[in-house]
Amino acid sequence: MLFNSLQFFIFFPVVVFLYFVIPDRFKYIWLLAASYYFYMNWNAVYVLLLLASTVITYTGGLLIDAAEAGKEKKNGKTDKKKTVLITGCVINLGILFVFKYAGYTMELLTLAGEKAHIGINIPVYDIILPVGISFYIFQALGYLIDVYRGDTPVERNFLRYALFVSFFPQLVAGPIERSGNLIRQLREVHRFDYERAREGILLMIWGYFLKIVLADRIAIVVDKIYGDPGTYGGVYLIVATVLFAVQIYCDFAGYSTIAMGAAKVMGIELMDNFNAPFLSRKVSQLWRSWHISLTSWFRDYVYIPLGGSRKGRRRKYLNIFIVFLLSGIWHGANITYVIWGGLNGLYQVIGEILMPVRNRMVRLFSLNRESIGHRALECIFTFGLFCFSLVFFRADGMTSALRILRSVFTVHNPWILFDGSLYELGLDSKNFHLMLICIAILIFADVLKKKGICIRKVIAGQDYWCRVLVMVAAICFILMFGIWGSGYDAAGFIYFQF
Amino acid sequence: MDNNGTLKVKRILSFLVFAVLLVIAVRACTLLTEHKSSRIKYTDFLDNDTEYDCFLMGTSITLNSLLPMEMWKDYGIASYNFGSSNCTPAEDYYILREAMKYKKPELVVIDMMGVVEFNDIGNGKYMWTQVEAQHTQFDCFPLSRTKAEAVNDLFDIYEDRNDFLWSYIMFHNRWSELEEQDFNWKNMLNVEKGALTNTGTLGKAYSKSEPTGETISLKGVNYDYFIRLVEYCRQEGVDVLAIYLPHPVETLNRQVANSIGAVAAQYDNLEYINMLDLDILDYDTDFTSDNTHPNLSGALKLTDYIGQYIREHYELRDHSSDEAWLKSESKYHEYKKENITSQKALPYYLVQLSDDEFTASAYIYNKEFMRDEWLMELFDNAGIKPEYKNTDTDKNADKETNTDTDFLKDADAMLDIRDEVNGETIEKAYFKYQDDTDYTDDTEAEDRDIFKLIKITEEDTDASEE
Repeated sequence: MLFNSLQFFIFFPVVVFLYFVIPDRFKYIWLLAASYYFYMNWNAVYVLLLLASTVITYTGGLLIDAAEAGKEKKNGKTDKKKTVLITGCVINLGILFVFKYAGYTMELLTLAGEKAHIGINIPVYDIILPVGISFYIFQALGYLIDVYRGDTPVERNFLRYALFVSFFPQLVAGPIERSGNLIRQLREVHRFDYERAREGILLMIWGYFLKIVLADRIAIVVDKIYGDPGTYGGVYLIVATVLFAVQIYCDFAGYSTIAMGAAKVMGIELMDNFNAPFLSRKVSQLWRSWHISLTSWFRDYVYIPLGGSRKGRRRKYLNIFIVFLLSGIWHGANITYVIWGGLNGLYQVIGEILMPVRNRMVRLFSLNRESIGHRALECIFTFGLFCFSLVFFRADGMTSALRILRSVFTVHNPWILFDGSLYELGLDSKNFHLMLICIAILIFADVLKKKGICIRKVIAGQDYWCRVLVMVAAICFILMFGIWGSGYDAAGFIYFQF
Repeated sequence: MDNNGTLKVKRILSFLVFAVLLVIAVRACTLLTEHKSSRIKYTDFLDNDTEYDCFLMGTSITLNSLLPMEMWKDYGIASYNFGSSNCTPAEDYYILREAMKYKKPELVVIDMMGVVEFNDIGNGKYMWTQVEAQHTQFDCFPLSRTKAEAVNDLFDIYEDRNDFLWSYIMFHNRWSELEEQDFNWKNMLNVEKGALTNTGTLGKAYSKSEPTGETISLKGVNYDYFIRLVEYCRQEGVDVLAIYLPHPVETLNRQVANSIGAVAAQYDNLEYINMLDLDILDYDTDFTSDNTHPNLSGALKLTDYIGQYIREHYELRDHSSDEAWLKSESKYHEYKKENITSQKALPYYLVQLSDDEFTASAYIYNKEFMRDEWLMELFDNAGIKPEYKNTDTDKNADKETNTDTDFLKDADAMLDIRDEVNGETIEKAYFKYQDDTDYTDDTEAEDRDIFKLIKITEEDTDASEE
């Protein structure tokens, strides 16, 4: 069930209504049932994977806690805890590997066999990727590690723990919540709060705007260009890549924002997943504002355990690089994702290495780093680097990515920006202009967010009629200008008279 | 009530106001963006108190062939045309059920073409390649159990069928192409009681098959729905007149047309006329250029035939003097006038002038056109006898009395069109042959394309001189 489906618009109000009217002791059980129903709408069988991951990490948590509380010798206790942790991680990552990476690995092995003229016949299984598997497995693993470290108390109520892993607003696309934040809230009793519900709905409206007005509209242009890079070369590909950066941001942030809003209506605060990433002045800053829940997950559970920046400069660079390679792999089973992640890691390593040189240049030329021009240039440069890496993220494969990059640098067609060619990419001029206006709205909102101004709170501070009109207008705007529904073909009506 | 209670009531009221405003705003957006074709076609049927004793159903051939206003004018029959592009008998069945919630007819006339045409397309129940057309048929009917049943049944293979229950799902992206019709549709309602005459198109039709006496066993999803329609009408006490409207058809259509008579014999409320070979239409003058649909001339002949048949075989009330119909007549007459004056070429004018409410004096200034058989046939069909005027003599003679003389110099033909109802002159239309080809002898002249006899106006002449 997608957030922008008719089913969800029936499902969500029903879930919320019953959540607030049933007795407190059943509330979390109701949410658990709703979450499993939500998940089973995609593929009922795959709920078994969700359940398996839940059972394994739940049992792992109990075993770690038991080992902690046991009377074994200190060394023995540590070994047992570690064994449980490692077993839990291996099984969960094994599930993730089988369902997300096995197919691609088999393909690579077969290809390698062919190159080496080894006649191996590796069966390739076409496994459908279970929705949200990367999210809920990472969330469950986070819990297990937290319990191991003693950062969070073990959850003994299986149903409540199962709800933590499967909480429907963030189940399939994050944010990847931390046990310390979410389980605690799931233990609390929530009463309906008018202001909080209103704020949640405003968040959902903003999320829908990002997703169905912006991301899905931009996708039409991006898909058209990236679908035929042979025809659309040079500046077309630059436009498409820049738009793709905005698309992926709006898509991901939109979904996360809807999740935050939906949870907020029910009294649960999820972490903010994006914080105006494209206004970042450095790649490392961009990554601290982009998919925050995943970046911080890697920071806390991979980067810091690897030694972080505590073991010298070289080790720090290596750790950064490892984390970003893993982040790339997490995003998809293809070498292009690895390169995308690697590039972003490389940017940061190079940025760190060049830092003294940059500082010297700034002093030498007496540059004011806080001037608007300097800041804008830094933002644009950072955004440009990110866009470059996105070519690998978006292209269908390595060959395609390299062909696209070659085309960007060799095909000369800047006139397409002025001669109306951009209106022939699936969006007519009105839709294209609407897209640009909406991007301007997004930038405006992000600038305000960066300045610490919360638009929701500004709206909430207005009088009743203003609030109501803004909300009604926003909903109508999304319904009218969003890319949803079957759409119609004007030419279809031409035949009416015959 | 304590403060908490007051606050709760206040918030519930606030929410209700918000919900009401939201519903109103979304409804307004829905009305604004929806395609108005359905409202334009059916508003006259749904909103007025006009009585309708006869429903005309079928595909676009029914839509273009049977003209309720003409049927009323000539036979006093009150009918409404529900024909629509690619409308299957399955759709007819549900449209009839929806329509009968508003007005109950005594007779349903249904064209049988759909019984054979659509069975092999998708689920056979609708033309899946053209869902927009189905929106014209269903959108104006409010949400109801019948409509939900129709949508679930007819469009069971259509993934987005909810857009038939709330058309905004499909039409919300029309915001970028809203036009005058979307704001002013109430002034653009169908004045033909659901029918739509074809204008600005004419072609010589040609036969696709030879007449045959063969029959076949009728089967298929649309035959089943036709039977359901007949049985539904029997339950409701409504007679059904099945017809097979004439147009160039394949042998299979002929076989089906021959077979329906046997079905009609099984139902006491069903009669059937196979019109395929009744020689009602002239293939040279009565069809559009697509070799399928009749133009106005053909529609008038078919309407006359069916009207007369109904008047002779059914006891439908005479509505000739009904106030509501009389009111509609003047609008319809104006509409027909506009249809005449908006034509671009002489042959199209002649098709429109086959209507006996209008006549014309015709002058040809180029003798070659007097020899064009098709053109003369069209004149004959319109009941107009063209007069040849020699350019040097007659035209010069005209100069003395006609203020348009300079203008006339350029013309190859002229129509002086009059309204037979009130005797007024509607238009003096001048036509000039506009072709770059240089004809040198009569043989070539016979090949001239009569559609290049384009209407010229004084402005055109001025512009070309400039």
